[in-house]
Amino acid sequence: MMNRKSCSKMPRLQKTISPIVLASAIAAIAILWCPRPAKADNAPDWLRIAAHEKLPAYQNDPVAVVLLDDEQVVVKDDGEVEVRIRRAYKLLRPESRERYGYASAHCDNETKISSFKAWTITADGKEFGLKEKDAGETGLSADALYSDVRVKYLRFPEANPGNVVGYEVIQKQRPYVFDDVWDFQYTVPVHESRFALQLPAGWEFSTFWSNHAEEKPQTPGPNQYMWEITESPAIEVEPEMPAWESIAGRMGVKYFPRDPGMRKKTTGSWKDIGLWYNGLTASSRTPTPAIQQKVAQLTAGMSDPLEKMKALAAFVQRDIRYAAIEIGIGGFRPHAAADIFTNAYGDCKDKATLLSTMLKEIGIDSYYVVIDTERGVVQPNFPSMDFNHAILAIRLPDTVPDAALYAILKDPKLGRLLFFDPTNSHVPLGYVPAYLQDTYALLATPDGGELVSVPLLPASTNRLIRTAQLELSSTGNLSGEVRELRWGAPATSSRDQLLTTEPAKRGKVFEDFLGNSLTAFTLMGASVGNLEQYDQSLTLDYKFFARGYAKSAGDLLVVRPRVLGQKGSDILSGKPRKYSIEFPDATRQDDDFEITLPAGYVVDELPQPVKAECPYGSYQSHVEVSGNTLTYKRTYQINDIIVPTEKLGEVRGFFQQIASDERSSAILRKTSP
Amino acid sequence: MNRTIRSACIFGAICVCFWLSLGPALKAGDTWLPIPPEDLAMKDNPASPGANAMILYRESTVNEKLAVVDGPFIKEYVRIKVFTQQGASEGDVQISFFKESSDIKDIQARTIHPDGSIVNFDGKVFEKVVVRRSGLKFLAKTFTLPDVQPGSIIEYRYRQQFKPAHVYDEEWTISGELFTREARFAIIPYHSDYENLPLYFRMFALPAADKPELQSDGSYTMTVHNVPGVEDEPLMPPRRLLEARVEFFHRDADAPEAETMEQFWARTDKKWNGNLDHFVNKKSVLEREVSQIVSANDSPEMKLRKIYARVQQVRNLWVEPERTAQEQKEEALKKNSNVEDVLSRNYGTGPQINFLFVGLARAAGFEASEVYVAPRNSNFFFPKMQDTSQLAADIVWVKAGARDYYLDPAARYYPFGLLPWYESETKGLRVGKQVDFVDIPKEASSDATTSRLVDLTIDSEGNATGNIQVEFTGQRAAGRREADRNEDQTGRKKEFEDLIRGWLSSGATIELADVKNWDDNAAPLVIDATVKIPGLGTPMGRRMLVPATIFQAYQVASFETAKRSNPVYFSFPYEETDDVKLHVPAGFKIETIPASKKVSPGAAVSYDLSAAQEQAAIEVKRHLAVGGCLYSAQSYGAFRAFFDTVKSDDESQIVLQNAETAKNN
Repeated sequence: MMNRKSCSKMPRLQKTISPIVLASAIAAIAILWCPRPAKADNAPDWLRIAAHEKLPAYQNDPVAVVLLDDEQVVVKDDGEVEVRIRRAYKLLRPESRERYGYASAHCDNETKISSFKAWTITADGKEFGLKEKDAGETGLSADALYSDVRVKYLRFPEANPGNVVGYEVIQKQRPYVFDDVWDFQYTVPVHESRFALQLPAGWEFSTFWSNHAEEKPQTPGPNQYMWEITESPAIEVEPEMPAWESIAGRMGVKYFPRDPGMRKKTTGSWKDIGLWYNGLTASSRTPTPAIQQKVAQLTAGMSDPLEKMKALAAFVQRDIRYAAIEIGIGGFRPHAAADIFTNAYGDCKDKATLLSTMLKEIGIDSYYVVIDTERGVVQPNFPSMDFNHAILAIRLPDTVPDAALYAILKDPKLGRLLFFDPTNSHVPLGYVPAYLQDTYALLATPDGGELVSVPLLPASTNRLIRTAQLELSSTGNLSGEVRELRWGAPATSSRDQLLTTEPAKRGKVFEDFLGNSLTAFTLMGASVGNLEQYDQSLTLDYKFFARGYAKSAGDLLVVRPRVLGQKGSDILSGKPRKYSIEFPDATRQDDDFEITLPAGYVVDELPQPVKAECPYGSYQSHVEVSGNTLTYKRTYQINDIIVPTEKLGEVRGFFQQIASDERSSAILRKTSP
Repeated sequence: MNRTIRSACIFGAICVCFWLSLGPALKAGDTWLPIPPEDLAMKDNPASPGANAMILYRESTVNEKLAVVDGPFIKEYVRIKVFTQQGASEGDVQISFFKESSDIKDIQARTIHPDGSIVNFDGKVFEKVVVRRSGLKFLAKTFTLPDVQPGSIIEYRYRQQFKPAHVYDEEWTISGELFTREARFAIIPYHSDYENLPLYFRMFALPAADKPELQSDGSYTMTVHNVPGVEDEPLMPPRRLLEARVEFFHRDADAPEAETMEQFWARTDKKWNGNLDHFVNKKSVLEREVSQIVSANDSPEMKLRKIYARVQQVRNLWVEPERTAQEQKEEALKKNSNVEDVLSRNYGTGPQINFLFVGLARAAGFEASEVYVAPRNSNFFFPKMQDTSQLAADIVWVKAGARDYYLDPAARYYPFGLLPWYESETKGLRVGKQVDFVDIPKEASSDATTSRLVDLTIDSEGNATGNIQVEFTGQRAAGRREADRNEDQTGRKKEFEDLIRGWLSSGATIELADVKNWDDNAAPLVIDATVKIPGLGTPMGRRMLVPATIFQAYQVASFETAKRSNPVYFSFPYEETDDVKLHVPAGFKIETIPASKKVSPGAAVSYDLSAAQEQAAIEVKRHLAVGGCLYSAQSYGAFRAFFDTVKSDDESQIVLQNAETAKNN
């Protein structure tokens, strides 16, 4: 399985631990440990001042407010970096006890915590303090089998509404690259955020801004720079919105040593970052006789380069198990191809490494592409190593036709580059997972890095064709057979569901689907075609019986022609949205249902045809009757996946029409006996 | 209230503690067991086809023989067959342990391919910090096996070595996630010529034929075959009750040897009764207090109600959010030794509050005592197991006239007469001068009701707007009050809006108007809201179709799949009553309304639906009742059919006709 956080270590404090993992650890502590009282300590002046800040009125009852978010980075001439973070929250609602009731700080082989303290100031002025010796620690990782990153945490006393909590952590780091990111906007309001940088004489820096206009720094002293932003509004999370991190304001800062030898640790541009990453990984792709032998075995008898590529891609995708072991620079640098091959496991960058090594053996070049699974987090004007995933760009030989290879970028220098993600278990060569489409990624080549755009695959590559032959009885029972033909994203999602379910329980996948549209049904049989042939269309065949599907009302029988499948969405209902929406993928989906009507009934009323269009998609449906057969046909197509806020009105109407069509029914009337 | 009754063996300097790791094995250097060719070639589990993986063989040996000198150890050997890519994740192994008491040693592992070729594990074993705090380390040894593919057999073994001078209560966990073809267990007890520390065991969810056999050397062994994995299913009993296991334990130091079940419970009862009597032994204090609570003219039940109300005023420390060390230090709460402390300090643990009720009730002239029960959200009570930890909750019993009352005044959100659901319809031990096992009465479905009163006006487009009033009583009200006790008004508003939205079709918007009786546990919890449901009615040419019920029958989601392994377990009996008035749009008349439906396949469930026309409105009444809790897996099909019928009938259609068109017909 693809793992989001597999490739990058998160240098920023707030991203070092998943709340779920930390919550688990704290829960475990509750079971295992009876805490001993710590000696109280007076709160520092900075926290007292923050606690007395006059705050504006905030909308929508936020859980808490960040009173102060103060990060001070002191860079020493030898490259050691000391980071001091002070953070204070005013807790406003009971929920804050869970979300902001603890302070956390990460450490690993390159990051040491030299001081960690926390305090609470209650609304009536009492003060409590905690020191590092009171801290718990966990090395649990939601993503990796093993990682050297550990998190220390302190649980604030009296973390109750009305009280102020704060902490200070000082870390000493030996970073792999000289850059940092200052986040100053979160899902709760931020009253004051500050970032201070102190550089040795002769060092330089540059900044990059995202979702905020550039601010010039104050210079409180020689080689000292400070940025300050106040009253950043909360980002209120809405369904189907882009990742909130891609909307939040942040500043990237890079610093450049005076010593040219150390300058290689600064990646000032995308090109620099690519060069750094390419250098870091250069030694990993060395083939061994065993790898060469395996390549020969997998491609034996093949002359078509594309067939060879498919064979190698399938091998790494299926036979190399996902397992992430990240120690030190291993958060960035893949293991050696030889080890990955021998062990037959690795993380995303390991899988990319092995495939790249094997492709080279058949004369095909490929390049690392580092990317983020959250669309929008990587922004062109913000060069950083803030990625969480690695895939490959395969340079297609001129002889390889690309008619069935969709995830292609035409690079002016390198020619046709085919993106491929060997970590995703079920997306075949030619495609790239939907969550990696229409996003920026860094192509790392020996000539340096280049920010490229991974294309959005067109609707025609992601198809679902569902046909059904059904029979309605005079008592309203519906039975029949359905066939689905899927390729692209709809095939991947079904394969994900089926292949991650034990074979004996796969019937439940069909039952869950039928249960969304039918009641009182029985699955009479199901079969799957090409389940593990990822480069072929997936077929699903199933039969069902639904008791009382059509509802009788006097001498009427009410039957919904849209028997299965839902395209409508209620994401635009309710209060007005602030942010854009993202669809999962561009797709075209067709339904063609034939329902044989019961003898003794005539059609009294049919739903009107529907034709709905918006800039992002189209929808058509119509129902007709010929003889005793009712036919329902519809086509649903989404062409673009990001709908900006100003276009939401048009999309709302589009989905309302679809929802209305999906609810509509045909009315049959009993003929006179 | 939930509580834990400790049952561990302690003697001399030997400390007994519980052991949480899964672990078990063979000594380093032992040869691996031979692998039959048919296991190498196996493509699926013949006994239970369609699995991702299965345990072919497992061997777990606990050796406490030299516990004092070398320390006890557990050796574990596991052989797993992988059938699918998904099953290959069995190659990632994590063995948890407490560093203070043990370590994991001699880890060996290998992967065997279907052709018999072997890849030995020679990688690094990582030690992962699960939790470290104040010198306590809960760690995990982590490693991943090489080259695991569908068809591979993986096997590993290790030794968990405990520190000397300790013996442990052990558990053989027989059934887990995977099917086990064969597993052998052994335990070699501690033996000393100077001290006698006999080992006992109790079994759960095991076939009658399977039980530990005492060997001539004093050890116990057991071999099991074809043990299925425990499946997670909706509405199933607590998983722990379905897992086959054997618990080995040592008795308390003061426990006699070869104690019978009757003797065990008599001893326990005597001890617990003594604790109760000691805690409430403040007669004058209790009489003075009770004289301020009740009056002589009160009926017996009124007296009990007043005492209950008084006791519920005591702050229950067990329902408060977990407090940090500093919070505890700051507040400096003293430990209560008796009811006088509870009354004067006005705080107590759950049991102390219940003890206070017993004391006050006795002072008021009632016969009363404490009852320890198995909270059936986690446990059932089997006296023959001689396991006090099963009785992890406590309530009180009072006799007033001919009537027995079972109450839990420490349950802050439960009014007089209502027990938390997990303390009803269970079994327990009523402490007193003699052992008295009691059955706590079951509750009726009327003790947990949800009533929804709705008034909606539909427009000519089919959109509906109006009001909804929801009333919760009994378990439904108390459960909500308890679950949301730490929420503020904003949080509760969101909770209730989300709850109502979840009952309705997608796209509905809810605006909460009022929450009544939040702080009055004895009164129904009432929620008022306005509601908008876009497209409730579907215009169809000259007609409009409107579903008879606006609410989704959520229960059906638990019965979607046809297969079932586990019993069906409803937490408590309940009822739903809906009264929905739908005003038809101007210009429409009512063509047909659904016929009345009544389904009552047995005592367990019933459902009825009726619709009536009232001029330009339709009133739909619906009633659903679930009357019991625990049903066999064989009854699943009947429940499935019932809830399918409920949902299908809920979807009956009201047909409206455009009046102008109707006039022309």
